[in-house]
Amino acid sequence: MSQAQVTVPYRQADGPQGKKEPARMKFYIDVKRCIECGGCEVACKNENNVPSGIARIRVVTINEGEPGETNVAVPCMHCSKAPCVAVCPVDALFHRPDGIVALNKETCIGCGYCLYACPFGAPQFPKGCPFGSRGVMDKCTYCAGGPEVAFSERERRLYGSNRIAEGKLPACASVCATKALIAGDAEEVANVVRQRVAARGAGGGAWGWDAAYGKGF
Amino acid sequence: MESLPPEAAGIFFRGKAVEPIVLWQHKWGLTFHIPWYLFLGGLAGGTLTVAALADLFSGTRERLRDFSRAAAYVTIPAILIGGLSLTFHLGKPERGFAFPLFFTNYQSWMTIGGWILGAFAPLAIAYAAAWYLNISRGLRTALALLALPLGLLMSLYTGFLLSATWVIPGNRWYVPLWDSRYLPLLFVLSGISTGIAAAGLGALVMGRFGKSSGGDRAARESQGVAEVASLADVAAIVMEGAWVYVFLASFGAGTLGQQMAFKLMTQGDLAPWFWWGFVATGLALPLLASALHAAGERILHAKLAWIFYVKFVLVLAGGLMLRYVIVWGGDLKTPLIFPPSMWPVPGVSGPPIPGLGG
Repeated sequence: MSQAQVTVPYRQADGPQGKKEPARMKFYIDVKRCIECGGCEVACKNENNVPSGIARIRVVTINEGEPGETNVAVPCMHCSKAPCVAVCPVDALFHRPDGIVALNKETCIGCGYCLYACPFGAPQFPKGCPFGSRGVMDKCTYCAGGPEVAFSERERRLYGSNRIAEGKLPACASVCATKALIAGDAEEVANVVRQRVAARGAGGGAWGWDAAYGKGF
Repeated sequence: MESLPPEAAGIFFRGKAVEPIVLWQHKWGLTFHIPWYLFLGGLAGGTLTVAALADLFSGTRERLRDFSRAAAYVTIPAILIGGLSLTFHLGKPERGFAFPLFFTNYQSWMTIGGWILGAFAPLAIAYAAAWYLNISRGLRTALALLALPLGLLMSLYTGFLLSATWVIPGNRWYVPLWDSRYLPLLFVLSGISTGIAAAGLGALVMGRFGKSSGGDRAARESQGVAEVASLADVAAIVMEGAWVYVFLASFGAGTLGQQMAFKLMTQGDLAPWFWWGFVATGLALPLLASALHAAGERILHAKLAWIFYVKFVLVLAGGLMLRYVIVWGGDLKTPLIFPPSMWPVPGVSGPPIPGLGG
């Protein structure tokens, strides 16, 4: 149950103090590359044993069938100053050392405050619980499981897989055919964003980046 | 809305002013727990506040004391039903009951509110008990001195509970309608006006059905209480109406998100609920009822006692409708910006947003 059990990835390069720092995991959603194939949605559901009625990542299409049609894959962005973490009364949402916003389903009271605070609509509630009860919140875990013992049966059941502890990236980003969804350490992701911005000029298509991580790469 | 320059929204993307996109998320839909809790919590805060005020300033005036007693009694069912509705709205109600153990994030208004509610409910019960058992005036005054700020805090917190989802992070606007500069005070004023109405209605009902032994005298007393409540409510409704005007006027001339919220409330899907449900039912008709009552007494010398029942019920219905409109309006979230390459975006220069019209 304690956060000490969390397995955190570390940066390849040494930090300023000469020792290895925890990575800062981020998502980069490139709206210029997403083709709405739905691969990320399927991979997520397949990997994480997602409860019915919940899409931990979903592809939103605006201006469908018209000039300027844009597809945006929306997972939990794991914000730097996450509003959900700020409002959660029971601290069921917390920042791991690697910046992933993790959820503890054992303490969540299901109040729905995070749902109202989140700008991305990431926190969701399962449908079809007994007596119409809403149950506890479910959201993207960055494929990092929960605060349980890594790879335990309990973690698997409550949160899904723990690819981060295996040293892998989230399933959605791993399967993205056009590399529209990039996951990884902030430094690596920022390099990709910079390359693409440099190639395309202003815009860059980094949807939600400012809202989640603040301005600049 | 289309004519508004992007600069007015105050959002910049790579140094260029851009227009915000509205993220339209349907949250709880027709859920009844939250609006009812906001209504009953605000109402209970209002009743306890006016009960304490009337008690403290009653002196030897019997009517004010009766009013205070009625208000103190009405607080109990309001806070109990409201608190239960709040708790059973949770996905895990059993964890909500143990809030002193589980609620550890003191930056969250839900934690602060849990403690406010946790202090409010016993105090309200103690205060009503002091009235019921007719304990010494000194003890009651002490309780009233505690109840006065706590009642205001209770109404205030129902507003901040919504507004707290507003400014984080980085002072971006997320739910324009839940502006922390307008909403908490609106809920306080509405709580006081509905609280006075509930106290008046409670006095009338208790006078009619409760004190069978008192007979005519009890009925006359409750009529007197209703007159006090009606007069006080006129003042409360006028203040609330003035604040609603300030709220709407500043939103109509505010940022793009505020203007969208303004349009949604006054012309969009929520307009009938707002105008008929709240403005007409909760503000205009009660004032009209008071005017009718005064005219009936002065000109026709008729006892129009039933008007008080109608008026109080209207104020309560209007207060409930206000909470519904505000909670429904929370579906309007803004602004998650889309880069300029993605224009036109819905609602700004593209297709209409569901619920907002063209």
